[in-house]
Amino acid sequence: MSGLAIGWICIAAGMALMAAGFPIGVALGSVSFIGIWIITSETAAWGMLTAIPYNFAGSWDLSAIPMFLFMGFIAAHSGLTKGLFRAMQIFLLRLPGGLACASVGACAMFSAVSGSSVATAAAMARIAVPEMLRAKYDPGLASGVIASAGTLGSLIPPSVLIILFGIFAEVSIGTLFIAAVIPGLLSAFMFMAMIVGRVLIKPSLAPAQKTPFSREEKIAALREVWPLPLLILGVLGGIMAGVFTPTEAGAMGAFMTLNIAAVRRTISVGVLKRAAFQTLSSTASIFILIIGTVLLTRLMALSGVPDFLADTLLGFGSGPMYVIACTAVLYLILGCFIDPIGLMLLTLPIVLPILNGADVNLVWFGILTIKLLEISLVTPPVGLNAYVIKGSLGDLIPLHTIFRGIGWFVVADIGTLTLLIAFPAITLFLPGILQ
Amino acid sequence: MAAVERWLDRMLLGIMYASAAALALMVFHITADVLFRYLLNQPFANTVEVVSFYYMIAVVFLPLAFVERKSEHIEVELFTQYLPLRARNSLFILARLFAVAFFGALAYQTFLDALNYMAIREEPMGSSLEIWPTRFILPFSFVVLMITMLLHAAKAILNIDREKPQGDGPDYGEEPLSSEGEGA
Repeated sequence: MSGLAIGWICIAAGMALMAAGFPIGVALGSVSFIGIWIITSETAAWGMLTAIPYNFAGSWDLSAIPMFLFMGFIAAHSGLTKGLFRAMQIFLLRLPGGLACASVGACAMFSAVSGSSVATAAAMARIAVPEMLRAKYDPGLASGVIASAGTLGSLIPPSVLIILFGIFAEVSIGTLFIAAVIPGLLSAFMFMAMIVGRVLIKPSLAPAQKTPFSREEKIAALREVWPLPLLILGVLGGIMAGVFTPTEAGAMGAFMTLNIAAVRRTISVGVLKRAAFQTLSSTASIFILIIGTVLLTRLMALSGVPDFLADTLLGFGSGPMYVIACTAVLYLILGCFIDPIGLMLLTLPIVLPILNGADVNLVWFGILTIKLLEISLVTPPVGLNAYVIKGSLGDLIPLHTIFRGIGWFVVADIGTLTLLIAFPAITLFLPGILQ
Repeated sequence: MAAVERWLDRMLLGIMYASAAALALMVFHITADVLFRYLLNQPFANTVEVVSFYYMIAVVFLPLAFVERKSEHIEVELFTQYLPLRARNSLFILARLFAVAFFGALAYQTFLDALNYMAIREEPMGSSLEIWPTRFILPFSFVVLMITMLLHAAKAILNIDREKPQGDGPDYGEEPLSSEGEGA
């Protein structure tokens, strides 16, 4: 049997195990071990087990992942992000659908301390959705806005997905972070524009709030959130200025968040323990996935599947647009049942050789990839973020209402994606002037 | 079974504290390194090596059994959720046994590696810091993970007609921000 045939059989077997509910890392890792054994030798297969888990965990670049996760979890558990929604309300009260716009703003701010969409959506859901429902907002809009704006967590730096893309595509993580800033803000702006537009056409979706905030309330709200912009400026500014590596920025961010929480007297042993345990649990489960996927990558390289696919796809067309269209279709289909990290790690070994053949800018492509993955995070049937909202709110809003509410935000996201594709400068402008 | 479970949970809590200590040290060590470098112009030696080969190994591998205990592995649930309960639980058991074989292979190989690297007192390139000790964290973590998976498989066989037969795991005082433990 040829290496190519074995490669395909192993991929099919891995997919079958994944569909049967096996942990993804285990499904991919085990078929790769067996595949490598058959294609090359027993020694090579055991050699992979020596090298890959240790080398990928013992990595300075990947250590940015636990650092940023820790920072985000400390911020969330110590209540640093609680006042965010209220502060945003003060600024955006006058807009039609002000509370929904404030939710977008609060999610965007939270995203700048959190590397994870799921964490962002979960944290903001409990704060903002009940308040919107009290104000008689349409339940679909109230839940859809958090599910969708939560995905900003993966686009606005720091971002676990961006770190992983940078490492696997061998692009500077710092550059990717900088490149993601404007697309992230653009996404938030598009969400807000869509909300304002919809509410203007159909005011019953979001009844206007009459009570303006008193001066005292405004000052109290600002006092509550002032450390956050400072923190974001310190962390992202440090990366942009080239003062910190992403890992250092993450560690400094976690350290500063701890200090802010200490000054505000919101830190306790319980808070620390919760934040640490959640960070560790997320990190370990992500790394098992990484190790399984990297094993698969080695098998793929040995079997020649990616080259075969690249040749086949490039036989039908060429150019960046064609490659992006192929990737979009691939993510739309696979995104229905694989979570974003797994999806990205699985497809990069296939997509990267094609990109190199088509001469595509990897920073630009990286941001488009993240945007595509975010859309897959809210589209049915999996739409992880919709389930997270459902999980955080209990029986308050049925799942189909959440998905209905998300629909309009997906339209806004497709608008953003189109702009990002049509004008690469939106992404590449900021890294260009900073380097 | 209950005794095994209690014993295991106590051990997992201890392991999580050790891993959390590595996480905290990582934050302080890197922060101190940055501050010393910019304020006093005196960077620490070996920060990258200590972070990568000590803290990261402890942070990534030690919590593995905890992830299993709290059922937070990243899995695809789309297809299995529509199966009848017994079929779903049978797949759960099968997946545990299969995973035990996979992690068994990993534990075996990484244990041999740890012995080898101990014998040559491994140092990273361009540094004289010995890094072999943390090599033993890998086989240790894989074995604890295997024990946890076997326990879950056994519980699932006993509770084959129950929803989530492995149980929720002990309450470690963590209030999940989300039902998913992942960083997507």
